Amino acid sequence: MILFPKNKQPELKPNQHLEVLETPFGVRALYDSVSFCNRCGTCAQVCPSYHLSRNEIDSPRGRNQAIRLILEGKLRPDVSVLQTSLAGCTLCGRCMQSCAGKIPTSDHVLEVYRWLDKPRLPILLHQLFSLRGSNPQKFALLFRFILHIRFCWNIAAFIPGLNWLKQASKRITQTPKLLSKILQAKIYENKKNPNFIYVPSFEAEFLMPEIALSSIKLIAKKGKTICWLNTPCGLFEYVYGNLPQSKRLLRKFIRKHQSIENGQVPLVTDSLDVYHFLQKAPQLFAKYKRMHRQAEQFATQVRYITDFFPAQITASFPDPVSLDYGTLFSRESHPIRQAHILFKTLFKQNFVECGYTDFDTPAFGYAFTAGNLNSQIMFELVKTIAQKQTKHIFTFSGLCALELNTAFNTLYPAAKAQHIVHLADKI
Amino acid sequence: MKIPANVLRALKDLVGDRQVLTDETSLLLNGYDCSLSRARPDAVVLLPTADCIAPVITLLSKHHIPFVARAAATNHAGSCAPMRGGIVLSMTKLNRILQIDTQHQFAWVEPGVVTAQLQQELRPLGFFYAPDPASERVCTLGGNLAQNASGARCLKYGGTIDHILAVNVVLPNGNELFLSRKDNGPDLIGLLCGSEGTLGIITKLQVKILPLAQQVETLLATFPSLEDCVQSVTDLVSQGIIPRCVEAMDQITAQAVEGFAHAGYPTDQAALLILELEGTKTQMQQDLQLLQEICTKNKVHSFIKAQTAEQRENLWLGRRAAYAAMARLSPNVMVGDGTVPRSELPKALAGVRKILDKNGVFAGLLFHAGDGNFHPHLMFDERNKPETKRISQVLRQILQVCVDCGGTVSGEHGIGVEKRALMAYQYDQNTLALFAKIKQATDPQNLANPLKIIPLDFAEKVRPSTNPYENFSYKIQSFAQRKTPFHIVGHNTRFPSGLVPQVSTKSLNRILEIDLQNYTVTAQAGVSLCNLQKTLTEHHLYNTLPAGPGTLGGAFSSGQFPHFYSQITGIVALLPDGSCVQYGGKVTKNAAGYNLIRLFAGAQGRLGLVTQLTFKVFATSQPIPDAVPFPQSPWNAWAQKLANQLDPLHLLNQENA
Repeated sequence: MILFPKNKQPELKPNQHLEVLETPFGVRALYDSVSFCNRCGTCAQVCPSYHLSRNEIDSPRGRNQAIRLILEGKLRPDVSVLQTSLAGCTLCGRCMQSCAGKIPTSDHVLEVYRWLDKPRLPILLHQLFSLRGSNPQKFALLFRFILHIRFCWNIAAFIPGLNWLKQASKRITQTPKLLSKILQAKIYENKKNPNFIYVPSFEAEFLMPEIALSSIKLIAKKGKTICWLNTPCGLFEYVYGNLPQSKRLLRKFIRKHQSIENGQVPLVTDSLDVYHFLQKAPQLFAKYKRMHRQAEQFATQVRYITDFFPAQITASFPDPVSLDYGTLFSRESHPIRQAHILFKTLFKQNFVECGYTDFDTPAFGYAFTAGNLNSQIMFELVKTIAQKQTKHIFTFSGLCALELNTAFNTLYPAAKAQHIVHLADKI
Repeated sequence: MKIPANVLRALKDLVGDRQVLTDETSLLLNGYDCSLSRARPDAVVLLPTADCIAPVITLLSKHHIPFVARAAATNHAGSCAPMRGGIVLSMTKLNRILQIDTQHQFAWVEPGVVTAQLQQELRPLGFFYAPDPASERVCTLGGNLAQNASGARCLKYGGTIDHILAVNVVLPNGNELFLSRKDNGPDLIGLLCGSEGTLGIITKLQVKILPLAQQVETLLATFPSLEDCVQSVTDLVSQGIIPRCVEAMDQITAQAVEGFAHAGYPTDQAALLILELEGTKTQMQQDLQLLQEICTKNKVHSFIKAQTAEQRENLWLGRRAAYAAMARLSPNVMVGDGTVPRSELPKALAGVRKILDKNGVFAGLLFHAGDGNFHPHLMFDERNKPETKRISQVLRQILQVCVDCGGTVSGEHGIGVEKRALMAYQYDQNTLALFAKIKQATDPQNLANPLKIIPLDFAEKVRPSTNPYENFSYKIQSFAQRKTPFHIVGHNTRFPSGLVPQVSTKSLNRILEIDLQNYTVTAQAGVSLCNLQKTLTEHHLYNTLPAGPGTLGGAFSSGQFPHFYSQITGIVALLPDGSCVQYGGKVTKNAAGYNLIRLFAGAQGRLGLVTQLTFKVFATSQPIPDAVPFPQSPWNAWAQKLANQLDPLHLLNQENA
C-alpha cells in the first residue's frame, strides 16, 4: 500500500512505532493515513489550538500535511517547529469526528512524538509516572508519600525540575483519602467468580477515591460480585512515548483479564481515556496474529460506567447542566453518544449542548505538557460556560473534573464540575 | 524569489515580528488548498488587524512582490496557491463580526469570519445569511466573496454576489476604496465577486441578512429517470414555486450514500430529489399539494415528507454524508462543479456518465437540480501520478460537456489555476482579452494572486470570436478610427439627439428567445420596456422591470434598476474598439472569469455597447421596485481606470462630449 519509496522516509526505530493504524475505514499505514487528508479544512475549525493561533501549522490539516511532506522527503523536519505544532494537539479527537475520511490525527501526532523521542512532561514527573508501569507498588508508596507532604509542594517547586509541583498544588487542594480504607469492607470483591471487573483510573485510585466508590456502587446494582483490576494498562506509556513498554503492560493486562473466567467478564472503567485506549488494544498488536485476536476479543468486553446507569432515571437540576467532552482520541464513541442522549432526555431544556466549535477540557496531563496553551484553552472554555450560565458540568474522567474545577476556582466560582458517575449518586 | 531583508524588516514593523513566518514548514503549509495545486510562498504574513492590509500591500507593491490572500483555503481550484511565490497574506485572524443590524437587515464582518459563525450569531436573532456553501462550517465570508460561492439555496436566494451590500477593498497598488451598491458606475462589487483575489483584498464587508422562514417542509421524491426529475423542478418553477433547496443525485450515488449513511433513501430509481419549501403555513399547504400533483404527473415513485425535525434531519443526512461516503473510499476526491441550463441537465449527466464509464471511473454525481449545477465526485489517489492525470483529464472532459451544453466550467468553485486552461474552451478570444484588460487596468504589475483565471498564451489555443452584431462593430470602429466621441442612444431618454454623433440601438428591437424550460428570455438591448412587458404578459411571464419609457439596454446600463442585475444570466456587448464579447447564457450561476454582466451594469454605456441580454423571468407577477434616481456622481478611481483601459480615447458616452 505504501507508494512512496521507503528510502526517502525518515529513519524510524520500528519497535517504537505502531505497525498500522486501525481507522474506522480500515487498517492503514501512517503514510496512507495522512495521505487520506483531502485538505478540506473541516478539522481546523474544531481544533482548539487552531482557534487560538489561527495559524495553519497549528491545525490538524497542517499537522497531517507536515507529516506527509516529511514522509515524502519534501520537508526537512525542523524539530523545534514540529514540536511547537504538535504541542498544540490535545489528542482530543475532534478533528477525526469532523473528518469525512475519519483520519486519526491524534494517532499521527503520537507517532511523530515517538519519532522525536523527547519527553514532553517535566522529566521527574515523567519518571514518577513511568514507575507506575515498571513497579506499581513502589509507585503507590512514593505517590502517597508525595501526596502526604502536599504542604511543602509550593516550596519544593523552587527546586529546579520540580516547578510542576506548583501546578499540581493548584489542582490537588486536599490530601485524598486512601481508597483501600474506603473499600475496607470489601463487600463487593469476589476475585474468583465476578460478574464485572472494575478498572479504576489512576485518579480514582489515587486522587479521587469517591469516583471509585460511586462507580462500584453503580456497578453493584447490576452485578453482585465485582473484581478489582488496578494493574497499569499502558495508557501513560502509549501517550507519553514508550510504546514497547505500553505494549508489554497492555499484554499483561489482557492476560490478567483472560485469567479471570477465561476473559468473558466485562471490564468497567470510570475514565473515558482508559476506555478509548483499551478499545485501541488490537491496534497495538497488529503484527502478532494471535495476540491481535485476543486483543479484539478483549476490546469487546470493555465498558464505560454510563452503561450501568438505570434505563429510567430522573434527576432534577434547576440550573443549566452541560457535558464536557474532554477525553483522549475520540469524540464519537458509544459512551459519549449514550451520555449525550441521556442528558438530553433527562435535563431537556436545562441541558446546554456544546457548540461544534466550543472547547473541551484538555485531558490526561496536557496542563503539564503545554501549560500556556492549556491556560488559554481553559480560559476560552470557562468563558463559553459562563456565557451560557451553566452551573453543573459533568466530565468523562476525574482528571478533567479536577482541571475544570481548578479553572472555575479562579474564573467562574459559580460552576462546579464533577465526574459523570456522580450523576448516579443524585438519581 | 527571495524577499529582500529590508522588506521583511518593514513587514515585521507593520504587523509584528511573530506574524511574519519564513520557516520552511510554515511556507509549505500555506501553499495549498483543497485542490491538487501546491506552491511555496516566500513568506507568510498573519495579518493581525484589517488596518494592516493597506500598508502591507503598499509596501509589496512598491517592491513588486506578488501576494495572495488566504483564509480557510477550502477552494477546489487552486485559487490561493501562490504560483509566483511572494507573500501569503493569511486572513484567518480577521474574524470579527463588527455589527449586526436586524432593523436594516445587514451585518458588517471581517473577511476571515467563518460563514457558519455568522449563521450561529444570527439564528437566535431570527435571521440568516442566505448563501450556504457546503463548506460553510469552514469557509470564510471573504473567501465566499472571492469565489462568488453559493450552495443549495442558490435557486431561490442567489449566490454571494447578491448578498453583498458594501465592501472595503485594498487595490493592488495599496489604495483603499469603499465600494457600495449605491455608487455610480459599473457594479464593482459584482466585479469583485468571483475575482479570486486577483483584483484586490477585502478588508471588511457588509452582507445582507434575512429573517428566518416561518415554516420549512422537507421532502424526498424518487423518479424513474433524470428527465422526469428535472421536469418536476421545471414544472414547479413554472407554477411560481421556487423551492428553498433542490438537491438531487443519481442512482449510483444514492446507492453509495445509502450504503454508508443508512439514511433510508430508496435506491431502486434512477434519480432522487430532496426538496425544501418555505413560507407561511397556508402557503405551504397549497405548495405541497401542487408539488405532489406535479411529482405524480412526472411518474414519481416514492414521495416522503418529513413529519418531524428528526425525520427532516434524516433526509438531509444522506445528502450531507455524500462527500464522506466518497472520501472513505479513496485518499482523494476531486469535486467538479460544471453548470448547465436546467433543461440540459439530463443530457449533460448522460454525457458525464458516458465519460465515466468509458474511462472506468467510479464517481458520485450530485446536483443542485434547480440551477443546473452538478458536482461529480471523482475518486483517486494523488500519490499515483498516472491515475491523477487520468482523473484530471476525465474532469476536463466532463467540464467540456458542460460548455457544449451551453453551460460553464464553474458554477461556484471558481477557476483558480486548475480550470484555467478550460477558460479557452469556454470563452472566445475577445472575451478572454477583456478579462486580461480588466486585470491589467486594476493590477498593471500583476501582483495580486498572479497566474489565475486567465489562461496563459490563450491567443494560440482559443477559438476565434464570432460577432452577431458586425454592423454595429463597424460603426464603432469607424468612430474609433476617426477618434470621434459618440453617444449610444436607445429611445433618447438620456441624451438629446443631434448634439454629437450617435449609435442608435433602435434596430436592436427583437426578443430572440423565450425559453419556458429554463424560464429565461433573450432580447436585444434596443427592445422597448413597454414591448418587452407586453410580450412577457402574453406568455404569462413576469420580470421586475417597469413598462415605462426607454429600452432594456438603457434600464440595464443606466444604473437605475440595480435589483435587475441579479436576474441577468447572459450578455453580448461591443467594446469601444468594436470587438464583441459574449459572457454567460442561460445558466443561473457562473463563477468562470470576471463577471462581465456587472462590468457593464450601470456603466452608462461608457465601457461598451450592450447589444443583447438574457435574463430570468418568473411565472408569477413580481413586485417592481422603484427606479433609483439617475446617478450623477463621478466614478471612483478604479472605475476610471477600467474606463481608461477599455476606452483610452474617451469616445463613448462622455457627458461633456
